[in-house]
Amino acid sequence: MAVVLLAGMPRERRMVIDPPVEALLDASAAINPSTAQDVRSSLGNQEPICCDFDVSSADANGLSVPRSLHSSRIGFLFLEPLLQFRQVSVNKRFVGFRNFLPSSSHSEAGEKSKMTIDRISGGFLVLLGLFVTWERRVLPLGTQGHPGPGYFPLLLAIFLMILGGILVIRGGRGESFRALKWPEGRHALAILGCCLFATFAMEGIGYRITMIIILGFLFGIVERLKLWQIFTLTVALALGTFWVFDSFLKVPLPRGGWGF
Amino acid sequence: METTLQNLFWGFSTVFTATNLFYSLIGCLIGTMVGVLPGVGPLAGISMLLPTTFGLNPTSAIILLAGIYYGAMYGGSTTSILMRIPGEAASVMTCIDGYAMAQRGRAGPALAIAAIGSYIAGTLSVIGLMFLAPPLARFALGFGPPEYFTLLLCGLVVLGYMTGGSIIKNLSMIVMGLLFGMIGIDQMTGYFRFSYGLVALGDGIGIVPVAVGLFGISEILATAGQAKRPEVLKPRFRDLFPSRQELKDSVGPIGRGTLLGFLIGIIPGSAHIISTFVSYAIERRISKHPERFGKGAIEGVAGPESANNAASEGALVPMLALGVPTGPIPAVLLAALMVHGINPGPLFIKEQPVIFWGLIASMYVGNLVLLLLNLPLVSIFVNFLRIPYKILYPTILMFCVVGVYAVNSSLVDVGIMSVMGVLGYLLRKLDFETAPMVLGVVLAPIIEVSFRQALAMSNGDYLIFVQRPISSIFLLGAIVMILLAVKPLIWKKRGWRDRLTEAEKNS
Amino acid sequence: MKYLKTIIFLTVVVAIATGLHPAILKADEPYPSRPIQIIVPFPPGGVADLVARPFATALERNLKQPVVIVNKTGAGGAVGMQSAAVAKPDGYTLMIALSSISVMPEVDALFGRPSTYKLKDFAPIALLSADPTVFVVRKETPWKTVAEFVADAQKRPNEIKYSSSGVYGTMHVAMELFTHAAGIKLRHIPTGGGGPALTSLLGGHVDCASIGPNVAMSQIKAGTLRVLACWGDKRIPAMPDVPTLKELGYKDVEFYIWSGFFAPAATAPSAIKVLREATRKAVASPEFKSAMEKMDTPIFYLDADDFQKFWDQDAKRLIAGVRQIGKVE
Repeated sequence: MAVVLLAGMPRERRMVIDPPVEALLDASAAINPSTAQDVRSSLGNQEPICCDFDVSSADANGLSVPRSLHSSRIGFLFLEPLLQFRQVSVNKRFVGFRNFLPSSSHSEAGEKSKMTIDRISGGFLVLLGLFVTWERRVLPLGTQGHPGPGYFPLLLAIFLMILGGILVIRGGRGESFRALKWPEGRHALAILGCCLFATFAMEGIGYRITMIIILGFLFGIVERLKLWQIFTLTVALALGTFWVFDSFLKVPLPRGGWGF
Repeated sequence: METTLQNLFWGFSTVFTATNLFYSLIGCLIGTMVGVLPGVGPLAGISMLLPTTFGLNPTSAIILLAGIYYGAMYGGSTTSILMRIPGEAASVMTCIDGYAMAQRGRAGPALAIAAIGSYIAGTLSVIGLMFLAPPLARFALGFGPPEYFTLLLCGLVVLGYMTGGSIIKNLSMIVMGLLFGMIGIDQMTGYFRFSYGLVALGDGIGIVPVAVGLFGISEILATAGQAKRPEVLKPRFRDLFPSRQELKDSVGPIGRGTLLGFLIGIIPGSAHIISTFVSYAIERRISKHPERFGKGAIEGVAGPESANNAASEGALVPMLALGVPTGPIPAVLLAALMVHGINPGPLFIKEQPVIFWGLIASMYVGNLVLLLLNLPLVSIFVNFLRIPYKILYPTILMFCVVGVYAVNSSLVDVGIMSVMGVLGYLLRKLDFETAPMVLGVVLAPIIEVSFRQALAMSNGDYLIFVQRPISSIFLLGAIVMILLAVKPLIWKKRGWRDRLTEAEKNS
Repeated sequence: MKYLKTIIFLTVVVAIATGLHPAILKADEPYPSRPIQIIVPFPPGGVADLVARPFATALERNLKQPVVIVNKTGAGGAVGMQSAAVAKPDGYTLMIALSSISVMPEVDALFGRPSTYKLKDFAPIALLSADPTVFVVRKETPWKTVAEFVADAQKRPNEIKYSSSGVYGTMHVAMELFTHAAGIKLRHIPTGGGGPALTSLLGGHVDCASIGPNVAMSQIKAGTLRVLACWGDKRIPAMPDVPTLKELGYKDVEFYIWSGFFAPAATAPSAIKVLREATRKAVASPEFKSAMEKMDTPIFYLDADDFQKFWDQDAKRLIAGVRQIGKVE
């Protein structure tokens, strides 16, 4: 079974044939979902395999597993027979964990870095809690019997800081922050830019023009479709939706400074 | 019983006129369309068409508007399943398992079960509405602030069963959602909280931008740039129908969802979305294979969809029986009646039997029409998935922007949606679940206000929560559930989560 | 060559933008030459909305231009009011607002916040309706007259509860005016709006409230609520047996939920004149009259100058009421 897995791995990983368990687990950790697709396709697109081992964000133990590790479970389950040779029963370890620990993984074998995602998110939560507490200072707390507007926010902020603190303390076993991949990052930034542009510009320059600009940008520059496709889609969608909403459903969409 | 059936028969005769059938059909069509558009929910749809109903006779007007209302609940599941974008705020839970099913090629059955479940829930709720409206409404009125608080406390605890993953992370998501929900004017004292001078945030950040942003925009942000998107295979014809196993699995969730949704719907002031969360949580808790949830369990679609349809019809109970609006949508329906000079009050059913029974009959017809409309459309909708994603996602983005804007003609909402989109994207990367946050945003104002109102009512006395019968029952329930959840930590025996562990390990 | 696509794209955009907008084509035409937008700062189905819609239809007929209602809700109406205050004063953006317009800036001042708009930002065009609120109690309560109620309230201060649609909202300020004049203290339970306030009352969680007469009518007819008094200057025609608080000796305790038609203050006087004329005709039209009758909302029309006087008087009362309430802890 391990051989089958290796067949699907990217070329540079095929060198790893008889590795220590840790390294194999590292390798499988680096498999991202698209490689999982490779595994599936190399196995001849047989439905049962991918469905049985389909993954969610919760791993077997109710502990959350970082998404980039998901497909590593395919690897992991394939590797079980190998593990037994090393007399490391990783299973036993997992079952022993209490179910309230934050995301753990196979990482006791791998990452020793301190900057795990759990630590970072825990840190953010603590910061958020502190921020809320600071902002709340203008709101009166009221008394126990008559809680004021600041009462609940303070309570929640304290709770959030406790949770964040737990994440920071226990988060040492998570996936390293540096290992997070952002392949779709630039696209996401472009889309985000469009949303923000719409937010600020739509009332100023009108719905239709804003949409033409946004759609044109996305179709033309980000996606690089053919010119006639860009043109027809952009104009049709922008003007079409305007007609549907504004004229047909009578929901006024902003018309911008020039009345268009 | 006799008279009820007689009246119903009479109602049917009102409905089966050409005009009323026509309006019912139009209402259902527009409702579906409104539901499919992300962000634009039934409230926006009904408000859009309110002026056009002024010229109709009251029966036709209310039939049209009610058709939009429950029609939107059918349509809302379509985008949720196909694109993980909630068509309207209450369809958020369907996004989770529905989309997972679509990714595995089971979009057709998901859509079909959603439609069937909605139909059964809708029809059963109408029966409930028909027979039990007045006594149920009176029961619902007995829900005061202490009852709300303890009920929602139960709801929050139930959430612990809703999602897998680390409890700490889920809890922090709920708390963050609760904090976001507190932005806005404090209802009890008039202070602006965390709004930084933006008057538009006065009513809070709104559930629609949050739901569309956290689920829809974050989905687009995460998948648009992916180098290789999993190809959707052309569905074979028999893949469009649910398998026998799936149908069998759905019966329970549909039944439970209907009952749950209806009961939660009749409580004034509860949002429909709460019924979907609770239904999902309960289905997961009592399922024999809870590890399947989140990866495409049909129960995760059938339950919430039925709950949300039942809740929308349950919300009509106090409105029709007592003339009391339970939320913004029944308020608009009431206004539509008021414009025609009809003032619904406790005597509405007696004084306006034509309208009441006509409406009831039209709801039977409407639900059937929607089922017949949605099932064949499943095959068309599934083919949407085959449009190349690079053309699809800008279109979806545009619809999200327009939809969110159209709700309140507010660009601040679009801004909130974008911020939530980024937040959702980052949270997915950092491995948090976003659904609990949506629930937090919905629940925060209600829970906090109920708590403080209850204390205001009792002048600071905490005993009010146990002095009132309903409230003390819920409080007891919440305590019991918390104890049950904490049990594994104390007893070291195999609790629910450990059994979940075992099941996943062996799968 | 790399930028050719971008250049073509931008050219197309500019071409569409300039080629398709009508405003360039229609420069000097008499007002109104474009569709008019009326901002309603309240959700659809509310009082303001229900008055605005038939009014808009009637106005359309007189102005021969489409009149569109835009609901901009939020912050008790402040969002919509602010957007109307800063809108371009070209006469194409107008507003229909309720009496709460006078209250918001005062509340902002109370909390030390910069106010979202000032009353001077609006030029009144006409008053459309003015319903005095009515004092209702649950049918299970023992009070049959206001005197009984006041006596009971004086015996047990801060015990009797009333609901309102929100702090500084219409139901709150009205009650406060009354309790201040009567020298009694009641416990205030704010809710999220008129609907929940009514629900709270009907469910027995509070004992009394001050609500709008058309909402009260159906409940009174069904017997679930009893009406003891009204906050008007004269008795309400639909409830002739209900005394006004003025009659009962509480001077200057008047409260109306009125709806008025406004324009941004800097709008050209010629445009306002056109609007005043059109409103006068619209209010007299049979369709508008019958629509308002059906809703049990009597028309109370005052032209701009009379409306300004009414507004000033009413605002003085309301602002005094808010100052009395002070900051709620």
